[in-house]
Amino acid sequence: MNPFARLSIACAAVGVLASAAVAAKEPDPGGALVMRRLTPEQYRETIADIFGRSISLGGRFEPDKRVEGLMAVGTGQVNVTASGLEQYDLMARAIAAQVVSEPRRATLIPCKPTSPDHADDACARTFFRTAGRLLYRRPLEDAELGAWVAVASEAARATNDFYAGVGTSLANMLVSLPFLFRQEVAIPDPEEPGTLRTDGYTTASRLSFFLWNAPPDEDLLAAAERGDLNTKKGIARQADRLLASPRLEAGARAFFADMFRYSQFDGLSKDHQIYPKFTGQAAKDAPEQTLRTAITLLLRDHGDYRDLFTTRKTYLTPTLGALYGVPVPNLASEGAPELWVPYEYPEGDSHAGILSQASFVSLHSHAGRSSPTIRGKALREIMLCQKVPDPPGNVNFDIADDTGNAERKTARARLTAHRTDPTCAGCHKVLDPIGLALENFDSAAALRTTENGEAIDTSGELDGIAFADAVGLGKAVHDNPATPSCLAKRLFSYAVGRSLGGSDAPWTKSLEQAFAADGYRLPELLRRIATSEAMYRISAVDQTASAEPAGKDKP
Amino acid sequence: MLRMIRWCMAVATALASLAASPHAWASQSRSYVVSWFFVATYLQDDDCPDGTNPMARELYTRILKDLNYTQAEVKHMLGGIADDGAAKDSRGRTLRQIGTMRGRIDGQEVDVIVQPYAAPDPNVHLAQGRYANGFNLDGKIQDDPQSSEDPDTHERGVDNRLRQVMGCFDQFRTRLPDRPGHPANEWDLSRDKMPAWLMTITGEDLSKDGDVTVIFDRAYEPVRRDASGEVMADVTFRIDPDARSHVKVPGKIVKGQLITTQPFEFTMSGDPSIGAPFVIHQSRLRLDPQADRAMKGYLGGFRPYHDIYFTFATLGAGTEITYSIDMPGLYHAMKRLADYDPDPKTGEMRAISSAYRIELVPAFAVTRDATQSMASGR
Repeated sequence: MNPFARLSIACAAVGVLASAAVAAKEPDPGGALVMRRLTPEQYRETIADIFGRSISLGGRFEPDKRVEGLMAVGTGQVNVTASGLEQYDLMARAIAAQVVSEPRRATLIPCKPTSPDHADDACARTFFRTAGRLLYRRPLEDAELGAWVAVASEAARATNDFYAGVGTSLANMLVSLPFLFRQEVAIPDPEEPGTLRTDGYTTASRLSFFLWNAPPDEDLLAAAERGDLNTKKGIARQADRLLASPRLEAGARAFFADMFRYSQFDGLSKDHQIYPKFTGQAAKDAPEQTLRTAITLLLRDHGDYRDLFTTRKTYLTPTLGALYGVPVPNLASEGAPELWVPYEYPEGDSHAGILSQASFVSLHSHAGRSSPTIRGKALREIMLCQKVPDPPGNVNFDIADDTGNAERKTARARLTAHRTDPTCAGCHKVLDPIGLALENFDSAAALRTTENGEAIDTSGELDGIAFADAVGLGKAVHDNPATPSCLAKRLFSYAVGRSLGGSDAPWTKSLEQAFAADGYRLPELLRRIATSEAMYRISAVDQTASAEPAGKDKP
Repeated sequence: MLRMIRWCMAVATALASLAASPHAWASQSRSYVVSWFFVATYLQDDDCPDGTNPMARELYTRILKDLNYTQAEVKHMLGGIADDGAAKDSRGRTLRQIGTMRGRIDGQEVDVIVQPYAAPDPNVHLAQGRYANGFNLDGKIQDDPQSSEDPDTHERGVDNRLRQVMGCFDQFRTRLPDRPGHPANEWDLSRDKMPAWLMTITGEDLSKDGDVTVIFDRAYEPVRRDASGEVMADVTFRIDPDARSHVKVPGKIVKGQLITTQPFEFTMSGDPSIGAPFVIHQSRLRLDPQADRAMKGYLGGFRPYHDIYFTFATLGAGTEITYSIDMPGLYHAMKRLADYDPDPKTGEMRAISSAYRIELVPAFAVTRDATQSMASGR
């Protein structure tokens, strides 16, 4: 069955049920089926899970697309370009060659051919049945399995090498749509007649990628095969297993890296004449610092999500220590990567919460200067899920950029002058008072108290709450009702891979209330989403449009 | 895993104590790491009235002629030297071999890099002029015709004969803030591996004039480079407790400038290309704070000239052919101008007055187990 056939069946099922009234017990009507391209991290994890971490990929990934603040949503709206396919092909060939290589074939290919010089369909079938199920995240259809075996057989005959044949076929499988894209299937919900839900394998994938950012493992696939994942009880059992696993940290890291837009670090540059301490290593360590801070607070210490904006506890490397002006000795062996050490800023220090970390203040700054406006916009969009319009195309930044102006020595002074332009004033009014609170951190996150010799005024306000500095801003964000609400919505959007609409509002509202009732604890929120009907409910509206694979007619 | 957790806890506790309490034995302290260190050979107008010393090609022409090679032979062999002084074929290698073995002891050929006294003194050009960075080390002003005046402090009677020796070699001639070519190359090559040199100032209130203590130590770690390739500021270093690289001396801050108040013995282990071990007798230090929290100034004193010579000799013939430094010439000049530490038997001086440019950037210095710190130069 070709990759689109399964989707067509799913769509047909949707069509049959389209007229049926959807009466979910939970207030969410469900969303569309989504066909999502594997993210680079998910691709890596898939290969590592199936063939081992020693397999090197040897290629580049196409850039992902951020939609509604999340790459996870964007992955449902991307295709594969010609150059992207070329890279996937390069990686596929490299991976396949390593899988069938002499040192690895004994462990990765679960049978021995009758002769290594000839095709052996039975052995090839055994391999592709096993590997294909993991790569496609579902059992292969007979026709699919037959096709891959046939390719292997033909290639083996042409090369007189069974393993070359398997490698050729595997390389092809690794560039096929069911591997590169998470294809979803809907079925009538056996527990809620008249409604649609994801089938067991789609449920398994949604659960696994949501909680582990990895493909379903053997247990999950087996549960899907048994039909366990068509029941709330079965889903809850698997969700609890995944939530209890150490792999949950990888899943949470992937979510926060997406929500906090850390992919932007790939293109981040700083003027090294102005910020010599912002090295390539600092750019690598910056997002890692925040992810470690978040994982420790939210998962290991089971803390309140809002404390992420006020916590004085973090992790540092010697590189970050130099950046922040904190003593962190390098205790790693010579040539070894630097070690991360836990660190707690003393009471009264200007550093508190993730807004004072380089992952925020450096990422949301210009290459040669800080930007209260960019920082304010980032805070509203990323942490509070508020939409801020882009500046008009003809805006004049001359005053804001004039950092050497003798009369406007600080960013506050320059922005005050810039705001006299009425077309700019509206947005700056809600952005600058936030961003100016972070002016004690320059574009490279180093602490400063003056700019061009003039003391920096870090006072400001957020939605009516006044504060004196970055620590006060963190407290204001902590106390802002939009903060936990934003996380709940983002997390659900991340889980289902689509942007949320008005029809999702009742459900997300109830989710936010539950999050508050749980003390803003992440594991509880993850579980509520993972075990919710909303996560697996498929709406009967706009199915055809939503399920249409992006770039269907492209390679 | 458990060990790692315990280790992390220990480090966390240590770092917390660093953050919470100042260093136990000083009300205030600031630490720095040396970011540049070399002989202060900054040029002045007309300081080499007889011209600078010859470059490699001219130097080797003279050497071969002194060894009675014909002009044709000289031309042939010089054809084997590339513009940068490197041997580009067998002719260059032969030339290098002949040049290196031009020493004679009892009629036998000897390596002049190892035994520079085996070659006659070529009388390299010596730098002259009124000014020289440094210090009046011997307290004399009038009766030393070779003493100079410091261009910054205008102290007279400055003793820096090493500048006279080295000041007319092109590789050492530059003006502040530039760094001379050969030393800058050596520094750049060695600093990624050489343990860093640390300086810590302690005192009651370092923002005011007053008495301080200056401590030099060696770190376990080398310096770290920043995005510009320079020495990164605010990096944390662990102090090597080895007493051979520990110097403690009283000093004071006067109008913001840090000076030591009594001569001291500066000893520091370093990379061979900079000097190992590094000893300066009767040392003085003068450092000026910079707007970027760095410190810049001079460390002066009498340095055993054999140590200086063999710092260069470790590079072998490359010093002559690549950097155009006549090694026997360097040796003989230092020997002639040495002005301190007479040999008890011969009376010959064994050390030469010198001044080193020293630049430092703020750093954190912590004890080996990272439980006791000196704050950075903030």
